[in-house]
Amino acid sequence: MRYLSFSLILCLGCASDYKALQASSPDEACIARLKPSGLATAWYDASIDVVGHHISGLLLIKNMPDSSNRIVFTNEAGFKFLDFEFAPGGGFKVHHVVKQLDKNPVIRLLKKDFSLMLGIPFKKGPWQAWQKGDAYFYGVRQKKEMHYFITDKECASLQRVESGSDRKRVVSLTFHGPDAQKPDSIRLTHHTFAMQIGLKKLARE
Amino acid sequence: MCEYWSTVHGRQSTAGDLWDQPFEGCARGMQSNIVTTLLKNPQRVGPLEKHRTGRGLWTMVCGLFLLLSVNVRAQYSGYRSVADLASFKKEFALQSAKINSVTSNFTQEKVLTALTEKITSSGNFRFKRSNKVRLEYTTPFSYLMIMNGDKMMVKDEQKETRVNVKSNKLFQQINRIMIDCIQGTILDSKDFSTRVFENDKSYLLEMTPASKSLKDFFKTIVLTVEKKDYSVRSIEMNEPSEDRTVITFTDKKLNEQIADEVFKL
Repeated sequence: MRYLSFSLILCLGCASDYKALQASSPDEACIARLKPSGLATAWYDASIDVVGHHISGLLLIKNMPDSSNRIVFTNEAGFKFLDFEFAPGGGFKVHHVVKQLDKNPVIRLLKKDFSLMLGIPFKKGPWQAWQKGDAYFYGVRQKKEMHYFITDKECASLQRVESGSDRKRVVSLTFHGPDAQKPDSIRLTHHTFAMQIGLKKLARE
Repeated sequence: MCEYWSTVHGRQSTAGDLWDQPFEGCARGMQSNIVTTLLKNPQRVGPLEKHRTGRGLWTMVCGLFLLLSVNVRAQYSGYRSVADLASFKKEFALQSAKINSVTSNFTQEKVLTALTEKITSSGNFRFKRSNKVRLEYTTPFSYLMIMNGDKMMVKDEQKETRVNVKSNKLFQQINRIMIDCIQGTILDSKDFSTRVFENDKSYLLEMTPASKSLKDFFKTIVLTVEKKDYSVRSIEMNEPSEDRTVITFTDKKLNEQIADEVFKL
């Protein structure tokens, strides 16, 4: 009985999140219309929850004149936690990070999360497509990772963005609001450990 | 990893330095202007040195001009140095001691210089002697911070967190600076060297951090104090990256009764 339970847990642990996907041919018009194509300059009320710890603050997404994107995260009183640059050619630069976050794994993780928010993995194909029920998955491969954006059957709306391996979903990302470039809110969830980033757009004066 | 997040939020890390290797792409955004570079690194003057013999006097005049420019800018427009610092210090402490409570609104402007971005927020502020502070942001987000003695509570739109200020050296320093600024004891602080200026209506205190831990965060903190009642009009926190945060207090009411409940954690 114990062996059976253990095997069941193992099987559940190994279950592929993408097993039921049926290969399909990519709809180029749908890709052009709904693929995540970056975010416009905006300030967000931000909260990051990591394994029971909580940080809140303000997050700026800034489109620079040279087409790079900057992500700046400060606390409410203006104290700057980090300032990352995503260059148009794929480069990445840390302009500032507080000592407590200046660790390679932390920066790598945040780089990936913000890169997904900015739609950077979706800048170029080749595209693959799958269908699962009423959802269409459009995917691009980056080394061992797959990045998907998922639409409804009619390609009327972007449902969510996911990132992971061929089998496991690692991160999912949802945008809310009528303007895809300036969503009212953004939620990023890690599925392999307890981490969430929540952003709520702030009204500008 | 969570320990690193927790240190940002105020708890001490217990995980040790698991990742001691610096990130290769890390390039801290310290911006320096040409004057500062020249003054701090005379060896980098280069081309001027080549013509030193022929243009020694000219170089000296230019250098003097640069120094004067820096000095004029550092004097702050419309302000002059306070001649009798000792008597100002005495009066500042004396008058500030008369402030037992402050009720005020505030506007905060965060300026990201290199990104030509700023965000303005506002809210209300309460202080009650000797160590109770309540800072509440209401627009465009809600955020509440209460300090009461050694205890601190922060509440954002999702969560309330309580911190013992004693458990974190940085929080202790920030707590002490904030209280010292309001209570008029900042001039006695060992954390800063202070220069004082004045005009007809206000004093300006330019505070330069003494310790490395504070220098990492602030280049200077500039405090503007009303001459009429010695209350703080504004606090400008200038960062090494040239970014700054300015908090301006308006509708100030001094020595009104404030219930202890306001600072309840």
